[in-house]
Amino acid sequence: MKIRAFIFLQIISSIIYAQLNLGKQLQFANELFDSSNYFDAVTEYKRLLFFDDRAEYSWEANYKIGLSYKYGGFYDLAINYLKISELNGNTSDEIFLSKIEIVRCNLLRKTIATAFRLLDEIETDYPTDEFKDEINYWRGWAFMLNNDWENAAMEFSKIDSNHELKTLCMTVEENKYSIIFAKVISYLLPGSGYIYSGEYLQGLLSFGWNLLGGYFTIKAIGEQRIFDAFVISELGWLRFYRGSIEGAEKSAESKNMQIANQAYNYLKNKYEGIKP
Amino acid sequence: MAMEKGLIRLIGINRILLKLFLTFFLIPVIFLLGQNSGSDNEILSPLNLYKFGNYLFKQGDYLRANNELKQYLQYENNDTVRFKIAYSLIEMAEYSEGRDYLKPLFISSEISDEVKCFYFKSLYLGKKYSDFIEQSGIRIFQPTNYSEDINRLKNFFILESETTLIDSTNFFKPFDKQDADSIRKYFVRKYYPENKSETTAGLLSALIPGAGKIYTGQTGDGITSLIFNSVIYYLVYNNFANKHYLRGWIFSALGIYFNAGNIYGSVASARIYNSNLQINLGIDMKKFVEKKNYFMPDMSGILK
Amino acid sequence: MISKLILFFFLSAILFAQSEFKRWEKVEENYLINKLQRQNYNYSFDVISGLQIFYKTVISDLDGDNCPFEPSCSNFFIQAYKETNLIQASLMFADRFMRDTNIFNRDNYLQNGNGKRIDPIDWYK
Repeated sequence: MKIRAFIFLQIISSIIYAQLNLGKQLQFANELFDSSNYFDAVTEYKRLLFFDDRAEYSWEANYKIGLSYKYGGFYDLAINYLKISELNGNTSDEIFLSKIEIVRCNLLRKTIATAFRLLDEIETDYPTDEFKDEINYWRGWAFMLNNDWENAAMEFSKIDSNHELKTLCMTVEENKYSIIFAKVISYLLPGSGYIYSGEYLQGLLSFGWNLLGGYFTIKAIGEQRIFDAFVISELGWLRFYRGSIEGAEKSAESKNMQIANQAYNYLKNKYEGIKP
Repeated sequence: MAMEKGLIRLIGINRILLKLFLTFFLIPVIFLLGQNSGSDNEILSPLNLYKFGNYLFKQGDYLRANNELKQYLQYENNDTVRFKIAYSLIEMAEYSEGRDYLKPLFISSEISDEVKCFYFKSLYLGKKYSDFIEQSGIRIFQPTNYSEDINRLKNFFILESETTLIDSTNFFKPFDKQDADSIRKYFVRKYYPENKSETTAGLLSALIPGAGKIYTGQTGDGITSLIFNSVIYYLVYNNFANKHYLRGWIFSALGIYFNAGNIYGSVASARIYNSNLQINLGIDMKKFVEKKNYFMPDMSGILK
Repeated sequence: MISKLILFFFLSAILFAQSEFKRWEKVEENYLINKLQRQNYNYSFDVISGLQIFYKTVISDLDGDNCPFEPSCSNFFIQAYKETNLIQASLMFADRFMRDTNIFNRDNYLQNGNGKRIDPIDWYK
């Protein structure tokens, strides 16, 4: 009896010793990860996975490898490892974490449509209130990165009606120029679209060219010089008329891009909440 | 009790010695035999470095595999590991460093023939033409069993690199019939290309605007040039006919200017056509040699 | 379970689609929208560059983005002038202008991310 107990204790202590070894390896890898040494962290997590016969650390190691690649900008690799961690998740919380990280990687690599699809799937798999806020939060981010500030504001308002990001989104939406309006007024009065976007000199010049082109075209028609009228209108008047509409659209788009980029800079440098 | 008595009788020792035996020898050995760590319990032992490095190598993670295998080499001198390091470096386009790892394996290594083949492949990939030609004639660099493979790669490299016409008498002999036919076609494309004459293109466009561009295959640009210049000539005629002399002279000047531009563009299009022939030849040859695995023998056995 | 295994092996096979041939560090995330812009060339302050700036401000920016090529015709001329001489640059520009009006077929030119046809001056020097 004593011998059997003794043998049993010896086997158990040998097993524990081997696990401590992997435990130390995990600790070492985590230290590298925490000190932002992501390249080496990936190596050590891969080493852990290789020697982990029982796949005890499978979720954590794959998850951390995915995060490391994400921080290094290797989003495709990150998503691959996060998918493996999702398959090896032991609890529903672990699986949820992996899925959300995959969404965040999709946001960073600008595959927003995929991020939306994944969020819809997560919402179906996790319908309880516990996860709702987080899903709405990342959906809001997806809208923001997709330059859709109105819908982003709606998503953040579902979390909190006074959410900081809701205020930001609404401010951006209010400051944006209407591209359709710029184009329509340019159809009616060439150059007005530029002035609406704040490009006063361009607006005046465009109006001037259209006026000049129109005058010479009509004068040529009046003098029965039809071919000349055709050439002047095609190479002069219509060119600047089309240019005015196109220019108004581009000008409004350019201004909107500047406004959006200001918001993105704020998110990157000043916003203290969780980011992708 | 029965088990204890049995063990004592079996081993022929007393109880205390039995416990010592179990504690320090039998149980740890039995346990360790079942572990992936093989004969050493340390995760960074030389054997484990080798196993992990090998695993990374098979995954294609060459940078990390290199680090592990280089560390292993500090403990054990292993030709296959050295070759794998060289292979990794060459896959990462570090040709010079890769060759430095291959050179010690030239002599008295079981894989020296394969190593030499791989060495020449690295010279080819690194575009070290003169080194390739020089060293392929030196005995120590020549593999015993694969000299024909090196000759094939050498001739292919010569065809790629030499700008002057090469003697084709024995050039195609190292290749099998199918490969020789393909390489013969590349030979003809390189040294007897179906070039377009710049002079012809220029003269054609001088006679008929755009004809030179149609001659070089730029049909759309040629027709556009013809229409464009025709419209200007019509405007010249029309304005002079209607006694608008100022406009007539302006369009005449424009006509001369754009016609000169049309001739210049036609000559340039012939030059572009000829350059594209050589560029396309280079691309086709590159695809061919990659498909043939650089005429190298199968090294999958060493890379396992 | 089998589908998960299949997915696992599939993912393992494509795991190294992005290559790591050098050590890397953490990168800063970037949310900015960067629409591909036409290249603006920085030229020295002289008569030709001055004329080009005038043309760009008063005419080119107002008549729409009509040039299908990259670089645009005016930039093509300026680059050609800087790298060759006035006569050769003028001839190159005349040829480029005629090719610009080609409405039939531009398949012999590659396209960049902006949908513009790549037509550098190096081909015509």
